[in-house]
Amino acid sequence: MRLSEFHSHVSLDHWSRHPGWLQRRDPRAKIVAALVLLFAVSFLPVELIRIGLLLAALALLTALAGLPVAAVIRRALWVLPFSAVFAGVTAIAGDTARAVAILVRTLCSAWVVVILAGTTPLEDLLAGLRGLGAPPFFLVVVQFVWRYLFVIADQAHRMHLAAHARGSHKVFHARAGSVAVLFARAYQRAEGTYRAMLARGFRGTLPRSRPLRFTLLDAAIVTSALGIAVCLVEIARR
Amino acid sequence: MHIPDGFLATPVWAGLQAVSLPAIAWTARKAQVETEESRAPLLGVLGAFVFAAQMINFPVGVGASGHLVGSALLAYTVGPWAASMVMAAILIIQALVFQDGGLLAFGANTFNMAVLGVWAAYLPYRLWGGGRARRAAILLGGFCSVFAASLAAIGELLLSEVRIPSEAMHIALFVFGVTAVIEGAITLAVLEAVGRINPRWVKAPEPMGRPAFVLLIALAAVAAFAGFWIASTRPDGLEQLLQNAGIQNLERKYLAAPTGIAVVLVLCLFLWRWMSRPRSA
Amino acid sequence: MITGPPLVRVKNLRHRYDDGTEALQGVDFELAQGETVAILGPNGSGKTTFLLQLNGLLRGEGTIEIAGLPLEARTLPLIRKMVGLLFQDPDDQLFQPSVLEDVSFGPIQLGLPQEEVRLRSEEALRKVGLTAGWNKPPYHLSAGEKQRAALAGILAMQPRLLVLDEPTTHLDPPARRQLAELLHTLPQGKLIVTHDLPFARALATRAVFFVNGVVAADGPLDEIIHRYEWA
Repeated sequence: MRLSEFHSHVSLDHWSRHPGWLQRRDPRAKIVAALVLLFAVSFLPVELIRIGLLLAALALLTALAGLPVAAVIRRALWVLPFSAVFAGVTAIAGDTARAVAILVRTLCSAWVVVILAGTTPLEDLLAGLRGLGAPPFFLVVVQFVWRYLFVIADQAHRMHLAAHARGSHKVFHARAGSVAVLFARAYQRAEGTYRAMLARGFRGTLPRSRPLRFTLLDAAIVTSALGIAVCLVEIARR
Repeated sequence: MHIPDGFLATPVWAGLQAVSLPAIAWTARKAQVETEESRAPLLGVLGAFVFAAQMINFPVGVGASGHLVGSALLAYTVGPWAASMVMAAILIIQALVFQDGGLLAFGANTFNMAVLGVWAAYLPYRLWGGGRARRAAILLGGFCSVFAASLAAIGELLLSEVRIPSEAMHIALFVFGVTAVIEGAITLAVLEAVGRINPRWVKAPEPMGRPAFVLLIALAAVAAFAGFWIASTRPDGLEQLLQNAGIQNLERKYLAAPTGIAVVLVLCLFLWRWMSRPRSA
Repeated sequence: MITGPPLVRVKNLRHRYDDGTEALQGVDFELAQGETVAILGPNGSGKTTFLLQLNGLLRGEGTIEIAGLPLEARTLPLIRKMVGLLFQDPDDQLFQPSVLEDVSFGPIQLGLPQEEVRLRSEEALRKVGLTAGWNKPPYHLSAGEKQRAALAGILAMQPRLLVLDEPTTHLDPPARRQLAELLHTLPQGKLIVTHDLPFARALATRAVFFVNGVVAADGPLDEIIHRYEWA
């Protein structure tokens, strides 16, 4: 991933904290619904009508969620370089149907994930995963990775600037050395954080996230996703 | 290589989810038991470090640059179990927030980079990291880590009947080889620098008991032999797969054996790890 | 009139790091209830090591008593409730996903019921002047806000002693003034390690000067600054 994509998280984070109806829903419902839709997309038969329906449904969902449609689609298009290569190769080999399938499936899958991430802040996604049975220790580690990611990336950026200022950026070993220093600072920061935890009376178990409430509206979301999935996939069989 | 959703065939992605998700759960339990909840900040911060380090350019010649993946580096500093978990943590964030890798494909990406990538790095280190061939072991570990993960990814694409013409396959294998070499080089350089700052941050490869060692070599040899034998004498199923990808005869052997070995290697590692559980305090 | 045992009593405190460095070589110190003392001295003189001893994060030889309670393994939980330690880098101590969750960390670790946790956290946040953005992640905040959020996390535990390690390092002058004003309103005894003399002057009249792991001088702040040409 490039540094430019890295700071893109800001827009997602911003969208996800907007007080919209979809943002307020139980993350478990949203995760399950997203997985259902992804599943359906992976089975989608390659027919114009069906593809059109899918795109329309996604656009409608995006708009209803209060997300900026063009920006969301632009984000979904990030997967394009990877899929376009394979689609191109497949098309050249004569299998245009499959090529289109690859493009449509990858783009629409990415779109679904952008909607999910764009309406659910990461800590809520993690709470949802916890509710769905993911191991708590793993999720705590993910939470810490997220918390310190930008702090350390900023440090890396500053070290990069400082190195540039001294013209040493072209040497492999200098770069490895600075990465090692980044490691050292990360390790020391972790020790500092651990001390801060002890200083506030840490007793060995980390606090669990706030409890989630699954409402009728959430159930409706999952059911609708299932409904859409069935429509998209099954109706073809007729 | 993060595989997005929409590429893998259902049996492939579903099968790997079924393998990877329980593996993460088990790894999380092991890491938690071995390191206590208080280690979560350390693993998290180091995960943030690897994530950030992945974006750093390493100049490797005229105009070219390499990047660190970090599975090997993590394995050599926090041990393979914690390393697996940290890599998986990085991958889930990449999938959710940066759409780098799919959600259905999360199992496949995790298997490739967090399981295979970590253990393929750890094995050479555990075997030779304690002796005079230490630097070579680290280079090899970094290399195997990326090469095995890349091969597995290609294997998964092939199994999903994604078309990859033979010229492209040549190029891909070459590129994998180069990035794998770079990973080895970066891992070694960074690990040595880290060791100079504080030697305690580098995990010592625990010495292996002789019987376990012999058994492991024997198993690996059997696995490699079996892999070659299957590829050469029972080519039907494999052939059909590879035929779809348009690969010529020769490439088949090149691809089948390493991928087969990689998978069997992982199985060997789990088996050996289970066998070498501490029996006395 | 301040009565009762001193808030902090340290006698002959020694500490040697694993690599052999004698960080503290016999520190004697006392702090009365409600008193504020500035801790000055060159880098590497043992100031931070001293602070980390006060709530048992580092263990050395000698005696430490907080409000009459000797610091030992079995009294650690109580000591950590009484001693609130504010670290230099707020990023090290704001480690929860949202400000409110972070401030709640201490009360939760104390085993308090949910309602009490909520009350204390909200009160602490209001006291430091952070009235909004409680559910936002900490990295959104400015350096000054982060420092105040970290302070709220400590105040939520209702400590009797505040120990601050170079708290103004990352703050701009307005933020420094704000922090000084805030600390001035808090009744707890305070130990402040700092190189920021205006900040020290705003809060303390007494100072101790560390040199090579011992307290070389203990007296009026201005006198110490003058003696060691510390301005």
